[in-house]
Amino acid sequence: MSVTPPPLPKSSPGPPPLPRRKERTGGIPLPPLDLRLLAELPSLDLQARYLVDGFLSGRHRSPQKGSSVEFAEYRDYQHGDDLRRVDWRLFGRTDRLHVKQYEEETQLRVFVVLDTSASMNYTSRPDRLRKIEFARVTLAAIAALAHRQGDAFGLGLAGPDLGDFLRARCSVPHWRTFVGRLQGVAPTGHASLAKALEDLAEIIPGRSLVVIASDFYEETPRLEAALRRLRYDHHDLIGLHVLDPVEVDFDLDHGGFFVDLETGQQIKLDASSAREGYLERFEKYCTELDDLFHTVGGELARLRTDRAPFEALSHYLAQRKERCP
Amino acid sequence: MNWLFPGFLAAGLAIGLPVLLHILRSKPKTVLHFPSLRLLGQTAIRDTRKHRLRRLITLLLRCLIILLLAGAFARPFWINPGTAHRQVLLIAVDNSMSMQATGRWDTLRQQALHQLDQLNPGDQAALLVMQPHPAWLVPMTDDLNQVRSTLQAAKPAYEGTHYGPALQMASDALAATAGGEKTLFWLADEQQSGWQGTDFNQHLPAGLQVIFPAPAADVRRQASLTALEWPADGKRNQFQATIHLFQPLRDQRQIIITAHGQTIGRQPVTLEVGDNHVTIPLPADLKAQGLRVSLDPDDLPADDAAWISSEKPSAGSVLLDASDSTDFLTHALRATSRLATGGFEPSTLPATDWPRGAVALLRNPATFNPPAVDVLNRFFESSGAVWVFVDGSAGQTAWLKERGVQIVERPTPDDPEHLRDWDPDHPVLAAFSGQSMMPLLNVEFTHGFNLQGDALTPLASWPDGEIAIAEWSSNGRRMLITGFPPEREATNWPALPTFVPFVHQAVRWLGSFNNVRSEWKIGDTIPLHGKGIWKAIDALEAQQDATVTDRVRPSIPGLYEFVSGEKSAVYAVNPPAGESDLTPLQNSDQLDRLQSPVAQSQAQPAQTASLSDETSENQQRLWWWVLAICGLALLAELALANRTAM
Repeated sequence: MSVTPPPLPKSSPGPPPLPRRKERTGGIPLPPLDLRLLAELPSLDLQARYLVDGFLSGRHRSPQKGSSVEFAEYRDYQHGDDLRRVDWRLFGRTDRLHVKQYEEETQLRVFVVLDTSASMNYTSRPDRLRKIEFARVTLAAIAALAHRQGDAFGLGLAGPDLGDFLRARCSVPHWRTFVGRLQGVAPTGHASLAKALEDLAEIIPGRSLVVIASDFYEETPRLEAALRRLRYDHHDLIGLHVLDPVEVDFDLDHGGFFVDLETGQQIKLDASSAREGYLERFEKYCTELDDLFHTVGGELARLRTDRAPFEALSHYLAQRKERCP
Repeated sequence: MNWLFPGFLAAGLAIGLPVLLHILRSKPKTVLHFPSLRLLGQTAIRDTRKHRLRRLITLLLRCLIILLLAGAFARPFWINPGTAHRQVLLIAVDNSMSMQATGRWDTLRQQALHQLDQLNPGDQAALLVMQPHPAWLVPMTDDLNQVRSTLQAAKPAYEGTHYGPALQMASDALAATAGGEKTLFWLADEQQSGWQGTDFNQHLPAGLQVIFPAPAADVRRQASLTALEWPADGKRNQFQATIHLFQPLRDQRQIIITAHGQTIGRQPVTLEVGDNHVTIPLPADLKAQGLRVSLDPDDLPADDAAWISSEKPSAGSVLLDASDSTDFLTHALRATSRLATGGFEPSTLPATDWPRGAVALLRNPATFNPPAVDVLNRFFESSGAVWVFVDGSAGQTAWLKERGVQIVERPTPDDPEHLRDWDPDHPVLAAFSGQSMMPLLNVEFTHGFNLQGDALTPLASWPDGEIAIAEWSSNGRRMLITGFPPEREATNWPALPTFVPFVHQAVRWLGSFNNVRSEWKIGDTIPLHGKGIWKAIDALEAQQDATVTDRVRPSIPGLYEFVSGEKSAVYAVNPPAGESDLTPLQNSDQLDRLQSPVAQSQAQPAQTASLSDETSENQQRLWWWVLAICGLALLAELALANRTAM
């Protein structure tokens, strides 16, 4: 997935106007999403909507087209049933009261979990989104997509534990609350994602979709235990492994004091000499994460902050399709 | 480890520079925030340790390079313990004629061989022969068998004795040889005449032991034929023999005259100590190229035979033009009359034609102006020998220019100049043969002329390489040209002792071209006319004919003939007169001074030691290896420095 930034209009330095609905739904392809424009949007709400609109118009049509209310079967009237649901036409033919039963409409609960550890507060270039910003926008877009499709969405902020939690609902006020919570996220020091996920598993209803945006600098056994705990409650898991390009490529050619954003530990390092070893370890760690999510039955998408987060939305839609065929 | 130039080691202090730079170098100030050092930590720590180690190694390599460079310039060498304790024996062999005295050579050689037998494997020895010039028979070597066999095969010759140069050469060689115990075995009979001119106060190498072997047995019977002369009237019916008796006070001897291998006469004589002149009659009809006169053998048989050529030497005269100042040339020529080989009595230039066969010494400008120049030209064109002292006069310059010789006056120097590039093999310098050339090198010149011309053969040069003294030859005519006048205003040479022998040899050399001098001594360089065959008619030892050019230096007494084309000349070569006197050095204190060289050499121990050190260093050449290691260290430093850029 390549994102080519379009030329910025010189006369209008502010954010570009959002595309009109006709354009979004009429199949006219929009220009690729520009992360720089996304970053310049004033609010997370706008960012999420911009992202979702760009995603939907560029890749999919809305899944809300058509009705989801389908007839399922008749059953005998029982005392207490709502009389409005009695099929009176059938009563006229059979002289018996039957209740018309429709297939129940399922509402997806989407819980997005944002890792607020200090390691997420990193960007290798000032003009690039920090990892936590990238993750926040991505999760907000997923929530916006859920909201637009009538799914309930909730929020969990992973600090040292589950620091903040927002129950899953699907309403405009809830969306505003959701955006406000995300907007106010501040990176903490050391965070324990596994602990937060374990806490989350205790309080969210089963069969939810849990989208975790993190860099997963976590002890693998603990993380595995937390993920297995979520899967035990039949949650679907989507991991969004948010990485800065420097973390992936380690494209540093100078040395200096490297400071761990979480622990504050400093080491003097010659980047060029450490690059080979780092890349080897990083690849191994990514493989471990992939295996971990695959083992527990989840999915892991690796997102670079220099690219558009469409892959995350694709995973969300794929999961929703599985749950709502 | 020792150092030849330890002062260069001070350059090793330059290691302070990289150390200082290492300490003061700018530390990495870049702070890079990174999400987590989890994947970086172990790698970084390991790499950081490697990095620090590399930096430390780089620093050490830089220091090592500096130290190695300083060490290489300091020229390191090892003192081999074996070398330090090994013995070094130098045997200086006096091969002069006096060593042929009965029992002398065998006795002394036996002592030298015994000394050689005292050496152990690994020790070094050398064999130096003294005459005619000091030369190595066997240079310093570990091969003691070679030294032994060479010494056993050596035998004395007929040369005169000169100890001084041999002692100097042996001293220098031993000083330059590394070793613990150094011994100089002086295989010589300590002939008194041989020590003349030797500096007994010279400094011998430290630790050098000089062995003067036990003196030879007393000479009981010794006489020598010192001169054979034809009568002045030119007749060949008799000749006069001069016999010098050394031992005993009176002796009965018999003179035997031989011609062409046949005895033609015997004459008993009673000799008194000193010179005895004996007139020996000859048959009237004798036709022989020369005669051999011998005495019945005594303790030194080599000088009991002498030869006289039958050819009549044309006694050339020495002509000298007038001098306006002090006549140094006349004084020098007259001083030669006291020499054993005969002197010269100069005469003034005749107004008419000069006599053929004469040698003309020309120093007056008037000689080169008419009408004298016409006489000069006739004399010179008829193969006259000329010695020209250049004064820069117009007539002289023009006369020389006609003969292809240009004269250029030299600028007056601020300090006196000294001549260099003396040709020690030229007959003119025969008087200095085997002696130090320093007296000639020390002569001062304040006025002179450059000599230029293709026909010139230089004998000595000015400091800038221009010719100062030269030989000129063309069509049988020869000329000696000196680029300075014989005046005190131009040079101090006429007042120095070396002037007389130089003038004497120069006149002898010039005169020999026209005057066939037929009586020569061993050690003389005989000038010849061009190229020809030199063959022995009758000699003490058999010799093969030899092809010689211009000159020859016979080494065996005898009667010789030089044949060049249709011309031939007979030369009688007799033993050196001084060798017959077998009297050893009377003042033994002088030898004692040489016997205890350790105390005397304390004045210059560092110099002698440094000579040995330099020899060791030259043999080992460790500085090459040090430089090679330095190069490897430099490559390693370059490789590491590129990986320690931070």
